[in-house]
Amino acid sequence: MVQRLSRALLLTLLLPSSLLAASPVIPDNWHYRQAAWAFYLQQPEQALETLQLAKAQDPRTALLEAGLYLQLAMPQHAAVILQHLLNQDDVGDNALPRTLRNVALLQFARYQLELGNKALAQRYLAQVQIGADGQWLGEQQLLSQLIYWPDISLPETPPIRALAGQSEMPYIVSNQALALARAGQSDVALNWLNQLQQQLRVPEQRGFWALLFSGQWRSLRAPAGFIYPAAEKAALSDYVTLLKAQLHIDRQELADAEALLASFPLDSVLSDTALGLYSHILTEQRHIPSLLAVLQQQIKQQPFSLTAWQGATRLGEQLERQANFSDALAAYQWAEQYYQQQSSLINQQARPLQVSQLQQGLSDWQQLQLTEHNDLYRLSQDILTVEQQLAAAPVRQQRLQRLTQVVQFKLGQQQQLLSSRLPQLTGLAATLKQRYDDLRRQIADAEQQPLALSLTDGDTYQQLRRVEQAGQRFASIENALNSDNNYDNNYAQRLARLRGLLHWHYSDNSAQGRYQRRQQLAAISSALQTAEQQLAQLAAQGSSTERLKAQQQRLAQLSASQQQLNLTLLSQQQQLLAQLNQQLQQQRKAQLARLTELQRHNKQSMARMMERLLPAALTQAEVSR
Amino acid sequence: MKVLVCIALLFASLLARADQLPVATELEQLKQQVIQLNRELFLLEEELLFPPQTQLAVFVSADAGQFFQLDSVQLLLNDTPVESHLYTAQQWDAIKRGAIQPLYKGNIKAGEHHLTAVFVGKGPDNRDYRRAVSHTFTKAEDAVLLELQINDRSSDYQPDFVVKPWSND
Repeated sequence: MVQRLSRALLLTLLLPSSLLAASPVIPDNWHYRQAAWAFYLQQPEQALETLQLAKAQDPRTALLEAGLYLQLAMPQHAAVILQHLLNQDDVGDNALPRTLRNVALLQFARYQLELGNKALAQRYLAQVQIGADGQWLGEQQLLSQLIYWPDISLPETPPIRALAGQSEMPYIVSNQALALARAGQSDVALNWLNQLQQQLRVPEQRGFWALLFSGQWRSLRAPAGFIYPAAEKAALSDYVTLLKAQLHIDRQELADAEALLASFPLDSVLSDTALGLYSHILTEQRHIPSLLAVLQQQIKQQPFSLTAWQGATRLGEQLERQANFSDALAAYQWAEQYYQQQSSLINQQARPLQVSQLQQGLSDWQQLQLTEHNDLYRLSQDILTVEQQLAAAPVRQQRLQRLTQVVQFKLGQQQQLLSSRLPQLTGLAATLKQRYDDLRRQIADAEQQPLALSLTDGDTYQQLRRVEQAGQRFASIENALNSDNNYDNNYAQRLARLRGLLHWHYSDNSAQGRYQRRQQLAAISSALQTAEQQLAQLAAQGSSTERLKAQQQRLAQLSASQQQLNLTLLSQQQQLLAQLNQQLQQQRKAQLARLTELQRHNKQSMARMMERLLPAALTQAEVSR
Repeated sequence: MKVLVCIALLFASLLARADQLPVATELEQLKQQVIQLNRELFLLEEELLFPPQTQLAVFVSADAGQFFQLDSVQLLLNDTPVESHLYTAQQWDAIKRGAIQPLYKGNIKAGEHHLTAVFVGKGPDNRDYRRAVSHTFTKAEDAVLLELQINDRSSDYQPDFVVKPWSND
């Protein structure tokens, strides 16, 4: 799916380059693809955070958000999004594609089923429309079985071929076999299970959406991508074997059941159930030596379990059935010790738990209780979830502190800018502007004169200056001598000629000089304008003080929220822990009561054996006397 | 009188219990609060640490990735190395599936800048492959977002490396 989106992106990239030259606007799926990065790296929190920053929320994004909420064990939020999605029109440009709508429908139906709303679950499931490619068919059929159980539809032949490639196929067929057995057709059921067992193989690679909602996203650790866990395949095979054994037992075909169970793998997740069934068969068949071995195996393999405790008494009972009373008495006496040992172990290991022990340091008994009781397991997981949130709090606090420091630093900078540097720079700019205006005025005045010394430069300036000085000197000499002769006239004419020559030079170059002056004035004016704009921008940044103060306030609020949240989390954790410990204590009491009951029964058996053995012992004693 | 107080306390505690949400709901609400808090923090971090006036962000994406397998990327800004990343198989797989990797985020001054990305990996026929792609841009008021795209060029069965600028408007 993500690849399809990337293809869509590539299509946009195939637009004429002229359109793309000026930084095209970021595409809508940008956040979606960034969220996908976090998701593939197994960071669902970050993926959700990225996704929620997206400006536009299309149905596809919403569906991914729902999936991420499920990954974070937040089904209620996921359900709200799914329901919102399903309430939208399923036609139009913005409609969810049929396949994705099916995903939403199936997940929402499953959620309703888990809440116990079967009618609602049925309604949403009925809306699923499987396409010709059969995608999601297995999920639909399995969910249908769960909703309608035990009234499930039963085809004439096992749908192994019809559901080929669907990972749910073994579950669907085994459920159908169970339903057949319940309907009294155990022959057909056994036949179907045999066919199923031959077909069990590793299913095909799972797609993005299937993985997202299956909760198996952790299997992404494997670099090869989506891998169906081999352990599940083994468990499925064992489950089918157990079902077959159970059916044989129901049909009183104990030898067939025994044959199946005798080779049952000991390391299977279902080995406890298999041992229970096996011991039942051996009891029925009175295979005492094998039964004793199985019972011992149960006692060893399943500590603190009712099966093992019952097994302890059953050892003696089997020996008693064989009329081996002295061994039976010894077995009962061993069982008595075993019960006492189990009682003291339970009392020892059932101490109140601390949060740190949940991660590491559970006693065997506590571990077993959490494994066997859903409520206890869920409680322990809830406590660990809260612990995770609490563990992330210091990091959040550090981020908050860092941001507070940044805001303070920026505010300090602003303060300095506004109070000292900005007035300085503004003053300097005003002085420059004033000087520029004066200069422009001077130039304008000089340009009104026929031959302005101030508008010349270089040789012309020097020559004009010398002529002017010579003229001044000549005028002073003429005044002093007060003479009017040819000598003076000659000098005056020479000076006038020189002045005329310079005037002619000046007039000849004046246009170029005026142009250069205007250019320079324009350049200075432009530079001054730029400086003024920059100053205006700086002054405008003064208004960012308000923004920074608002951010500072937000940070303070966040800090307070964080503290409040931590307190709530801590209190929640303590409540959950208290609840867990209370329920563990209830389990302890119930198990001790059961042990007491078994002990009482065992003691009665011991007494019975003693009664049987005592007369014989007395007779023997009398004989020997 | 004491009895009345006890009854009142009992009644209050019963009311409190009636108001109390189921644990699962309460936990979900707490988680949602944490998510919101993180989001707020992220937004503030963006505003304060990487304001648009100075922000430069670089991302990596790929087309099908048939002709190239990415091992590492090195990023040089104005000839100075600013970021380098070694890819795990999982990360490269994510990119090939359409994900966009946020590779670098930093602050730069206004004006002209020169970015070079050096891609190292395996090219066609599993040969060692090293290519650099450069991009010159001018930093102004808006954030600069650059996407380093690794595309498959079907014309000559070679990878193609492109720097694509985006605008955040």
